[in-house]
Amino acid sequence: MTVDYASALVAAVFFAAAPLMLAALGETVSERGGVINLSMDGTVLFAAMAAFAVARGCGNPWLGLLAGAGAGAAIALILAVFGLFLGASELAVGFVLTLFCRELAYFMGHGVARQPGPDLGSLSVPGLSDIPFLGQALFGQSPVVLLSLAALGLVWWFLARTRPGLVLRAVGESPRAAASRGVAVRRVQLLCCLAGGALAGCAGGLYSLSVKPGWGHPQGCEGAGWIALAIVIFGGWKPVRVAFGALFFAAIQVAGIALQDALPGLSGALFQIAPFPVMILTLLAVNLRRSTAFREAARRVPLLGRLMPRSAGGAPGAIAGALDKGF
Amino acid sequence: MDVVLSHIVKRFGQLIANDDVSLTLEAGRIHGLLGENGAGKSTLMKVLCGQLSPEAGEIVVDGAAHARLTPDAAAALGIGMLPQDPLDFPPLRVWENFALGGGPVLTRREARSRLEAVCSRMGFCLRPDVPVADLTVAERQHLELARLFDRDVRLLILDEPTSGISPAQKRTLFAVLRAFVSDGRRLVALVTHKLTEARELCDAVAILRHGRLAGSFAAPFDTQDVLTAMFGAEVAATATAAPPPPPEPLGLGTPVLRAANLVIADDKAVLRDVSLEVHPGEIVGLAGISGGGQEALLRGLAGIARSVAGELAIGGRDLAGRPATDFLAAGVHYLPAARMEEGLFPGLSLLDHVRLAFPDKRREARAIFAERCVGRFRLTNTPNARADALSGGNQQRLLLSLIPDDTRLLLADNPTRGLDAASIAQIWDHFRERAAAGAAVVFFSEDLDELLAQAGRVLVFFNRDMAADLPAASLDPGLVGDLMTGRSTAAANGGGSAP
Repeated sequence: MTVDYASALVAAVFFAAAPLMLAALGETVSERGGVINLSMDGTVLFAAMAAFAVARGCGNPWLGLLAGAGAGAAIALILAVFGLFLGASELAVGFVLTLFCRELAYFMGHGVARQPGPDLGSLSVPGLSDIPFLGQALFGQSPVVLLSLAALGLVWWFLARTRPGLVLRAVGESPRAAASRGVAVRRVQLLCCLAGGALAGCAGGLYSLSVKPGWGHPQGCEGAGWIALAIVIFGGWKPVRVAFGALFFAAIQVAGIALQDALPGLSGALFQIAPFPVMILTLLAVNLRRSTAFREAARRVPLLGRLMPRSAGGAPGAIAGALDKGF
Repeated sequence: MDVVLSHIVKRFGQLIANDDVSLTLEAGRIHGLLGENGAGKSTLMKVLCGQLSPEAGEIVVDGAAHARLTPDAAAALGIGMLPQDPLDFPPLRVWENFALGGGPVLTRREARSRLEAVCSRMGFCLRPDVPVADLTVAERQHLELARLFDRDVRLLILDEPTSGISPAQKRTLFAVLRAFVSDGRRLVALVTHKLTEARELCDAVAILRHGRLAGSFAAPFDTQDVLTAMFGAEVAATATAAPPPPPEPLGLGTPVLRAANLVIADDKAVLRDVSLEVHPGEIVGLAGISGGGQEALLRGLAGIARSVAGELAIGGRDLAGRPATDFLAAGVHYLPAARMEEGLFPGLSLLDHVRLAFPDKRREARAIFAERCVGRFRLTNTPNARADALSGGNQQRLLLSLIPDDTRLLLADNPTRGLDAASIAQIWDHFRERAAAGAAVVFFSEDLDELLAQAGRVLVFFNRDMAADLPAASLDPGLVGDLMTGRSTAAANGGGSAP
């Protein structure tokens, strides 16, 4: 395997991971504030349609991306109004929204299906793209990769370093304590839900305008939202870990394609199915420390404990009840 | 600052928590708000600090009347509360909790420097980068106080601040409170169900009973008057009487419980190297600050937390490493501190609880309920009621009535927490009955006075280690408090002997 080939594979991983990373980061922001947005998959698909339609209509892919973000925020607004202010279950509303958005996207996008349209094109940062090995992957192929990395930096910085980020985390850990300190809890949750929806909407735009360009039935990004939801949980609600999760999932998908070329004897379907169980098993290993059986074993064989990665930590307090088994 | 609560009414559904309560709080004084659990003290204070809106009445602060306050408005007026269960953000760091103090959020640099300033002024020691989840109860209290002092609180409300802290930590807290009101402009409202604390600290007390103001007294106050106002004449008589002495062990034959070099792995903590014998008829109290290891011991002895090394025999049966069902079969029963969360099934009926507890007598459940739960344990509810409709006292009565009579070892984690005086008396009478019948009782109570009054022997825990094993004769609150906070060791005092 040549260096060029390996570097091309790495570039493919970053490219495929970009929208996944955006969607997962969006859900991270939402859940760190205490709102579980289960409409992710529908949001990504609907935003993909909206972004492509607008980009095609006005000929500018960046306006299309903006429209995707707007569509994502609008769907999040529906969830927030029902879940936060009208007392409906945000889980139930989220599920139904997913199905609703999917059907609506196919219906509304019928006119632009299988039509040509603009895309975000490629981009090469002079100088940086000449860095050996990673330069091409990060700075030499598409604005999509830079966008996803910028979002990662921004989300990490916002949550860890800014005062509004601190308020958001506080609300997600204990809404009651936050309210007792004068924080307008519902408003904070509304904002983080909208921001999360907008990021997921961007993810949809990245799919239809760059990663899987065009619109159709199917578009090709179906299921990405569900994967993003899983990545957030397994990444322990930490932006950097979540980003690694997205890269990892993209990596096993790319590896599947690469292996398919190398091993033509095996069925192609195998390589399409394989990433999912591999994902589950790997993420299980990452969070092994949470399992009682593992802690037992590590007590007997201390080496095991030292080999395993540190646990990512638990769910934000406000949503722990919905996600942890509690025993 | 003067604060007047005027004709406050607060209802929760059918329950009237505050029924036309009027109270005047003057600057420069420490006001006590006394009453037994469920009397409406906390509700009244939550109304005062804006966490609850009253249905009627008004809050007058320095002459300005408010129909209700929000947490923001109360903070702006200088009213701050230290709630009974810390209302903070455990996964966040100390400085982050401090920065979110109400009002504008502080930057990292501001928060750190102001935290350091307050701590040095008050004599607190708090490391800014530690997650709050890793702090002790006393340290969390210090953090909350530091936050309130920094935001220039003028009326400081404390709800049962001494539960879970040691006598020495209590003295520090009281000194801080006295210094706080000494300038004559600020004031403290102390919510407590302990008369001794009110006598020690307060300049005036108001007493709530069943949601109504039952009396107010200025220091020095007459104990009997206050108790009568708190409990009514009959209960007050029994409350002042000293509890009967703890029973003697029934003989040093076979121990009910024998542990040697036992290692217990609980969810959060590992308790190492416990060696211990408990005999029939003993009532053993466990002392320690929350997380000191005593909860892990109870859960380990109940078989809920696993024993990973050492020996554990109950009634002569070797149970180390066995599943919890074997412990139940050996006659071990456990009363958890979180009664509703760990002891009961909130959505099931009381009758279902009886059926689950006595599976081979399912058909007689109604009879058992009438005879046992209602007849013997004076549970006051109907068999078809859901468990989550029970009051705290009735929850504990139900749990006790489900424990079979042939129990050898009864383990109880804070059995009287949050209960009213009549229920507390009933629980201790019941434990003494069980001990007299040959069972052994091992319990943990955060209330050191209760612990020392009821236990015939006290095991002190510090830092997930059994620090001392003290017989009743050598029990002294100061010594036990120092041992459980690590200020002294058993060897240094010669007060007891660790086995």
